[in-house]
Formats: sequence, C-alpha cells, structure tokens
Amino acid sequence: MTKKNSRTISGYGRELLCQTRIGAELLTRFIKALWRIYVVRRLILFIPLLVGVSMAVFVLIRMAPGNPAYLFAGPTASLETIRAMEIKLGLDQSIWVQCFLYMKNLANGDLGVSLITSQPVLKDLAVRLPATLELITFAMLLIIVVLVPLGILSAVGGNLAGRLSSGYGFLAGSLPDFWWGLMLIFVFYTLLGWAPVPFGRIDFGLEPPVVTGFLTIDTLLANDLAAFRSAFGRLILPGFTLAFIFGAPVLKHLRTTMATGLQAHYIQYAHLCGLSRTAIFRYAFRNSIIPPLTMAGMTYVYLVGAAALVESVFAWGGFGQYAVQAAISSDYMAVSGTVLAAMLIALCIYLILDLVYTLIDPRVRN
Amino acid sequence: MSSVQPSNSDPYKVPKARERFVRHLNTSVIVGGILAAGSIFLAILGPILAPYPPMEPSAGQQLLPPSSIHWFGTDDVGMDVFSRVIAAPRVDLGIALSATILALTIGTTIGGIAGYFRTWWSELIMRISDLIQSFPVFILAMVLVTITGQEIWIVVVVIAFVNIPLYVRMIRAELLSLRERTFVEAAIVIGVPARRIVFRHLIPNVIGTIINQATITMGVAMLLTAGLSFVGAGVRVPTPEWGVMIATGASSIVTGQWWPSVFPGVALSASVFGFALFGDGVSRMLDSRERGA
Amino acid sequence: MNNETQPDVIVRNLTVEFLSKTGTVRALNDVSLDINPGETVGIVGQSGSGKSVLIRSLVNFVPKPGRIKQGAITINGQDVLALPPAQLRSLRGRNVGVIVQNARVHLNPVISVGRQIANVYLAHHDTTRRDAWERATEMLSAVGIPDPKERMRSYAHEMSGGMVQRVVIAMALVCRPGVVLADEPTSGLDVTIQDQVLRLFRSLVSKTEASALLVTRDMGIVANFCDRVGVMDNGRLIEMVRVADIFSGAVQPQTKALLAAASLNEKQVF
Repeated sequence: MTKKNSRTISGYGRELLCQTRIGAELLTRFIKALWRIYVVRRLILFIPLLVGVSMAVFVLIRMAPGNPAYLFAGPTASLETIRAMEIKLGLDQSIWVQCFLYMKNLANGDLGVSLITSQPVLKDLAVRLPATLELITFAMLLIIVVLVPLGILSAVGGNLAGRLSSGYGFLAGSLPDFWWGLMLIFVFYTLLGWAPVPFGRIDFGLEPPVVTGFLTIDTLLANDLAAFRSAFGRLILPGFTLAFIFGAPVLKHLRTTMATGLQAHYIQYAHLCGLSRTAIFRYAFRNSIIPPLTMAGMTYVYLVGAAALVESVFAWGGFGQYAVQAAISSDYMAVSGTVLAAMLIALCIYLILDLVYTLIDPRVRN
Repeated sequence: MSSVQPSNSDPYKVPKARERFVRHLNTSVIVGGILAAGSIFLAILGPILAPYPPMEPSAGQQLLPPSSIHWFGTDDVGMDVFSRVIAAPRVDLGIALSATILALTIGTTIGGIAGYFRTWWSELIMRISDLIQSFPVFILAMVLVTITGQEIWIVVVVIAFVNIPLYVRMIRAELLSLRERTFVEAAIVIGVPARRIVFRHLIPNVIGTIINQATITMGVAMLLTAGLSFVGAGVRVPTPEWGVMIATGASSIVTGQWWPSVFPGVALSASVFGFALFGDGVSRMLDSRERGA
Repeated sequence: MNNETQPDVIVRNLTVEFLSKTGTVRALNDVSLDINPGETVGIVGQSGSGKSVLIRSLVNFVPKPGRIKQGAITINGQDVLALPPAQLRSLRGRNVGVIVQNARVHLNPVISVGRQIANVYLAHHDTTRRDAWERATEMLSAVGIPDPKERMRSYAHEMSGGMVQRVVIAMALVCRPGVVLADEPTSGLDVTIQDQVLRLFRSLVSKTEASALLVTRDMGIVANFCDRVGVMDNGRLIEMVRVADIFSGAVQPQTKALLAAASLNEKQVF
C-alpha cells in the first residue's frame, strides 16, 4: 500500500479497489491461460454438452405423436386409468415442469421403467451395454490387428494388392451384416460344426459372477477357464461378422492416407537426407495414422448402434438389440433411455479421441 | 517446358464424342451397370415375370429345396422363393430410389443455399446437419419409423432424412471451393445473376460427385430397408422384400434349409454391389475425361 | 606446384526425361559440369529450366515419372548412378547435404525439429540418441537459432519462415558433408532474412571447406556467394563462367546479356 493511501479512509478504499482489480485481472488471465490449453477446454465443455444433448433427446421424444399413457395403461384401460397414468407420468404438467422433472430424474439415474421387461431402464442398460461393448471391442481389436497391417502392406505393395483391397471394400460394403452373420453360422456351425451354438454369450449355467459385465474378463477373474473358453468361443463368429463388414472402410481409408502420406514432401526430404527405410516408414506412419484413427473412433461409436442387427441374429442380448425391441414395441421409456445412452457414449468416445489427438499431433495443442 | 516430342497421332485431329466416351469406359461401369440395370429391370417387371404369385402361401409346400419346379425352393409358408426374390426389387429399389432422390434434391438445395450465401443461418444449418449425422443412424432410423408408423412412405422419408446431411455437406464443400475459383469471380464481375451462376456454372462441376454419392446412397438405402424389415421395423410380411425374406428364412438356416435366406441375400448384395461399382466407374470416367487423358 | 586435384562432383552428359501422356519432356539435356573442392558453383535460370531436377539427379532421386536416361555422375570418386541402395543412402546426408526450398513443407509436422535433425545424424553415425541430440543442438546453435536447447523441442509450425529454413540447413549439414547442394534456399523469405541465411550458408560451407552447388534465380546472390556460375535454359547448361570474370569485363557481351536475361526480379505473373 502506498504511503499516501494508507493515511485516509478514502485512500484505504481506493487501495482496496485497486487490489481487487489486480486480483480480478490476475484471475482472468489465469482462466484465459487455462482455456488455451485444449484439453482443459474440452473437459470443461463436456458437462454442458451432456446437458444439452439430454435436453435434445427429451425434446425429440416429446415430439412423438401419440399418448404414451395409452401404452402404459394397456389396451383395455378405462378413461380413468389412462388419466391416472397421465398424472403418474407427469404428462399433465406444463412442458417446462416435465423438462425439469426429466432432468431431475436423470441426475438421480432414473430413466424410467421399461414396458417389456418391467425393469428399470437403467438396470436393463447396465446389463446390455457391457454385452455390446464387449462384442464391438472384440471386433475393433480384430480390425486393428488384422486390417491395419494389411492396409499398410497394401499401401506399399503394388497394383494387385490395391485391386484386392478395393474389391474387398466393395464386397464388404454390399453385404447386409445380418445376412453375412447368418451365412457364417450356416457354414461354420451347420455345415462344419466348428462354431458353438450361435445363441447367447455363454453356455447356459456357466455364467460367472458379474464384475465388469465383460464375460471374458469376469470368467478370468473367477478363474473359470471352461467358462472363459465358452464365452470367448461365442464371441468369435459375431465378432468376425462385424469386423469383416465394418473394417472395410477403415482399410480403404488407411490405404489412401498411407499412400498419399508416402508422397509427402517431408518424406521426400527424409529420403534425400539418407534416412533408413524403417525410419522413413515410421515418419509416414506417425502422420498417416491420424485420419484412420478418427475413422476407427467413428466406426466404434457407429457400431454401438449398428451392431444391433448382428446382435439380433446371434441373440446376444446387447444394447442395439434392446433398442430395436423397444422401438418395435413402442416402449417409450426404454427408447428414450437407449437413445440418450447412445449419444452419451458417442460424446465420451469423441472426447477420448480428441484427447488422444493432442498426444499424437502437436498442432492440435493450441 | 523443354523439347517435347509429340506423340504419334496428328495433333489437329479432334476425337469424336463417341470415341471419347468409349475410350474412357471402364470395366466397373460395365459390370456395375449390368447389375444395376438388372435390378431396375426386375423392379419394373419382376412381379409380372414371377412364375408363382409372390404373396400367396400354399400349405403343404413348405421348405422344399431348389428343384426344377421351384428354382430357389420354397420358404416356411410355402411361397416360391424365386418369385419372391424377383418381385422384391420393386419394393427395395422403389424405396431406395425414392429415398435417394428425396435426399439428393433436398440435400443439394439446402447445401447449395448454405454454400452460396454465407450467413449465420447457413452455419446453423451445418451444425444441425452435423448433429443429425452424429446420431447412430440405425437407431435413429428405427426410432423414427416406430414413432411415426410403419407405412412404406414413412420408411422412405426416414431413410431420406438420415442421408440428407451427407449431401448438404458435400454440396456445400464443393460450392465453397468452387466459389473461390476465378471463373466464378469473373462471372460475378460481368454481372451474371446468382441463380444462373449456380445452375449453369457450379452445378455441372458437381454432377460427378453427386452421381457417385447417389449410387452409394442407393446401396445404403437398400441395406437399411432390408435391415429395418429384418427386425420388423420396416416393411412387413408378406410383402416380398429381401430383408423380410432373410428374416423368415433365418430360423430355418440353422437346421440346414439355406435357400430361403441365401438367395435374397445374394440378390440384395449383388444389387448394392452393382450400383456402387457403377457409381465408382462413372466418377472415374468423369475424372479421366476432365484430365483430358 | 599445382597438384591436379580431382573435382568433388563430376557430371557428364546428364540427360533426364519425364514421360507423360502428351510426350516425353527432357528436363535435363546433355548437361556436364564440375565442382572443384572448396568452390561454390551457382546455377541460374528461369523457372522450368531444370535446376531442381539437376540437384535431385545428383543424388539419383528423380521422382517418377522421370528417369535418368543417360549420363555419368561422380561424387567424391564414386559413381552415383551405379551405387547400390545402401550406399546411396549413405551418400545422401553423409557425403552430400541437400538444402531444399520451401522448408516448412519439407519438415515433419508432428515430430520436433530437434528430433528430426538428430535422426539425420543417427542415420549415418553409430552412436547414442543422446549424442545425436547434442550434435543437433550444436547445429541449431551454429545456424544461429537463439535458445537452441529450447528450440530443439519446437515443432515446424511454431517457427517462422527464416527459422525453418535454418533448421533445414542444420539438417543438411549436421553430418558435415563434403558436398552441399542448395536448391533456391532463400526463395520465399524476407529480403533481410535472405541475406542472413546466405551469409550463414557461406560461412558454414567455407568452415568445412565443402564444395557447393547453389541454385538460384538471383544474380545478386551469385555475385556475392559464388565462385563460378552456369546458366541453364530449357534443360541445357549454356555457359559456365567465373564470377570474377564477369565483373572484370573479361567476359563476352553476349554472355553478359545472357546472364542478365536469366537473372532475377522475375515477378510472379498470373
């Protein structure tokens, strides 16, 4: 405090104001600096994004024609029962109150009760979501382990490799995934007898205690090797079905980016500086991996819903299958819950993806 | 540049249009074109050419294997699989074509406006179409169909709806890049009215991409229709439709009766494949023409 | 006692062709030149006269659809065109350093510049990464980049045009090559920066007594930094004169006119 200001009350006040201003200025600068860090920005924006998406889902479901009270009350209900149901569902309140109640329930984890299963939707999802995630993670691993090396090889390889992978791309894009699953069942189960019975995730009676919901992990945790083999065996056919069909665009994308990547100026300069072939390859790979990574992430998110058909064929009991059945039966609450869950998963995965980018690509960091 | 040795042909000879066309024709266009044309042919004439009525079950004829009277065998209610397979394109292609044309026209119009006029609401349109695109497509389609009813035209609208953002984005991107080209600036400076610039100058440049994307959308629409029908959210039994047929045949395949599911699947795949191949070939043809190869 | 020393670079009858659908284009047509130890030879010519192709041909790196149709290239006594891949790789970077124009696109955007320079050193010396890193830091300092230790971890997009050009110079010279090929190393840079970069180039080259080929469109650069200069036009090397002779008037007027015509201030015309 300056000597002049310390002597009078107004001086003291002035000094205080000055300090507050400095404090506020420092605070804003700190926040701005934090804001510039991309990662922090993304994390902070995530919550409002979740809220926004939830509200959007709410609006979407409310826009549906028809009175859900009819469905819940049943086809033989009388007018009073319907009315009572309406009040129970909160449909007689204004739209704002409904919205508020909806968000309040969400915050408590209450997604309503399913019409078909009569269970809370959240509980249904808690069982089915891991099933789907296990399946698509397996499919994704297959894609990465098999297709990525193939893609790189075919980018470096000659015309024949190019034609083959192009042909595979067209083929896989034309096959209906549910039909392909059926064909695989026919060949590998009916004709050859190699695959286990294509229904469900594990042999009846071998289910391990639920820890993660991922049967492969849970069986290992319970030290039950027979159960593990059973669970893993059942993963193979549906996983391969998904990998075959949904891996094709990833492969094509990888090939294209690798091929153009190898022509880049900095690669040419690396040649001119005499770097070894492996070193140059690593350069190209590091750069070319980014677009396919996006593609893989988007595919993963897409698969959460798109695996529904394959899940139905293999009676997997997964998320997509649940959504399908809910939609067909007009299970209002379940549909709403699954759409919300699907979007939230999408947001989470995209967030993780963005954060991974900052690790790989320094250009994103600011 | 430096000394160029001219190629053997006479530089003053201008190849006729047909010559040029034939020179660029490639295998994809031919093979794809045949398959696609075949589907379209069946879509128009299929139900008439069917040897058996495609929607009448006959008891006592269930699950007969392929033979000389039933080329593709019969399904679990006794209907001739072959007849149903060739009657199905009318439904599948009909839906797919309508959806594609709808998505195309609406999408390109919106995209065209958003790309040409750079106002705040064109940004808003892009955000909304991003949002639609980020929805898990299948679930969205299914939800929309079930909350609005299972009429065929609803299926068309829904499939069109989920595909619109693709066209919006594509057209807008093309327009944005074309805008910066000099010939557009020249046209604006001369005073050519906006509408004419868009239709006479910008659109022809985009046609190739549109055709390619349209064939892909056709394929996607057909697969989506079949998928929806497979789970019961689309076309219903007993309408002949490839997805429905695969669904009804699914339970039999485990016990070895493969023909009710295999043939419709092959037909569906072949159609989608044909359209995709055709579109790819056409866009490559247009590419090589533009390069003056 | 004048020892007849072999030139570092000998080029004889070099012809490079590019095959295209409209015919064959000769980018280089029967070019012959020598670069003596310690001398800097300039090459001037308009765009498209084949200057960049010349540099890339000297290390047998003509990109498809081009190919070297005929000719002989000898660097430090080695027949470049006959070298097997492993030795060619060793030649590039170790014996011959190449400085490219438009440095920014020639640097890997996702790897730090320091790592890139160190990698060049590592490719040609059997040593540890730490050692290569230190060598690279020395080079950064030698090319006049302030705070070299910090800058080692920077990325190409974080640096200015002049600085990335210096980084490329560092990459080209980190192995102390005996021959330096510079392809318009200063085009696109600010005039003041151009001067700095060229002085740096000259000092580094003369410190290591390397011979250099400096391709440029700027006669001013030639006058200040080269010992001899050749004029290229349409793939042919037309004249080769000593720079001192130009200014002492010992050169024919036609040659002077040619030099003037091939010279600079080519404004970009659309």
